Amino acid sequence: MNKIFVLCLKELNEHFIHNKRIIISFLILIFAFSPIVFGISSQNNPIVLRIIALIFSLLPVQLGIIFALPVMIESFYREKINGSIEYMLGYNLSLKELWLGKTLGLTMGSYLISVLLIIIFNIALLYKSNILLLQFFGFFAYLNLLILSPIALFSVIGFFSMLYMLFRNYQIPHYILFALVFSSFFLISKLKPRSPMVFEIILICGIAILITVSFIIAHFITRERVILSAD
Amino acid sequence: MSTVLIAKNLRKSYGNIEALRGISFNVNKGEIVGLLGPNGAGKTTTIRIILGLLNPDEGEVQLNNITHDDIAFILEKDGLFEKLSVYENLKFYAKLFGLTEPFHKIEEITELLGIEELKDRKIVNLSRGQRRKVVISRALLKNPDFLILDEPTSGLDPMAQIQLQDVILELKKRNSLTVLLASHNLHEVQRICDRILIINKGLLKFEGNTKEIKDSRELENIFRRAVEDE
Repeated sequence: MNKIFVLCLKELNEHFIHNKRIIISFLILIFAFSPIVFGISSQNNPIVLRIIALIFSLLPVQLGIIFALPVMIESFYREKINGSIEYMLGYNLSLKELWLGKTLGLTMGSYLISVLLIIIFNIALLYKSNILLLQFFGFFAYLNLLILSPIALFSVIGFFSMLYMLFRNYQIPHYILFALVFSSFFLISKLKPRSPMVFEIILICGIAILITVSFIIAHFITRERVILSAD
Repeated sequence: MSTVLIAKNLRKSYGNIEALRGISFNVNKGEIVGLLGPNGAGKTTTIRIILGLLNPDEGEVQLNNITHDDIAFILEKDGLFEKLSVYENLKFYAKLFGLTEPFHKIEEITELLGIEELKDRKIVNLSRGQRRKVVISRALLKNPDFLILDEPTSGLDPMAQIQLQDVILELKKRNSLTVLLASHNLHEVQRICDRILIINKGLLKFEGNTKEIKDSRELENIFRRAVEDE
């Protein structure tokens, strides 16, 4: 079996199936989002419901990051400190295979769990007020949910996993994350995208920037750097 | 006796600190070689260079009649996945090593090490001694010809240390394994090694056969001289 696939399955198993923290986060998010679902249930304007559907289609990115962040620390940082990564590299796993296998596993896990959460919200909405949000999904909502969200999540997780491998101090990636979140909020509030098309372009540019920066960082990551930054 | 590993003039620095200052040694097939030295002597750096995890600044490591695929290793940290069971940990590595049907191999090895009843237990619930046995099982999954051990008994109680040393001796007898054992435990090295290398501050200070060393007092004196030399 391909090494990347083996590692990807291990990540899913360890960090999503055997992780109580994920179940707790899942329940907290259901609890936190239930007022929003009740709020939406009073809506019957199709234009508003289309906008809500568009927002829901992007939720896997935000929710995915919430699920992925603690898992990324465990998967990359703690495994670096406890020697797991050193063993994997010593047993002929290349850095590229390690990064790709882990990032794919974490992306798949956090994306699927976010989609499951969205399905639960939709079922609750259907039960409460007979609104099937899927009816209001347009082209951009499907594009977001099925293509852009997983790619965006992969680029975010891939970028931060590289930072966790690079730095000895795990707080540095956290500062970068906060800076990134606030600057993207600031940018969106300044640009005020008036149509879904503009918003999609901003999202695609964001993904492209993250992937480019990740490629640049990848040049600084060596086996030696990863191993010595764990000592 | 054929040589499986030749380390030639290994040098490695971390910034201004010289970890290795030109170490050369051989390891012959079927022998257990002890790499003895105090903390910071350069043992772990030597092992990491042999495993290809670090690149030497100078010098080289030659493998004869074996490849990196024939080498298994155990480091001071166990590197196990805490949330997974013993079986899941071993299955992951078995698949990484390319074993298509790992179940029987895992059964065989866990039985050999007496941990078959722990298979479904999560790593987080195991004692340090039990974890060490899982780490050995992981190494044996590879069917190695050459086993590299870096402080394998560190942090274990005396009984667990003796058990682990017995396992290494048993494996050597059964599979005619070649072993490179880095340790700072004089008693351990004298008990299980055929040959001893003492390194200090990145230099090889002593090389000799264990049989030629009369008793632990003599080894202690040799070690003291090697370490206090500079």
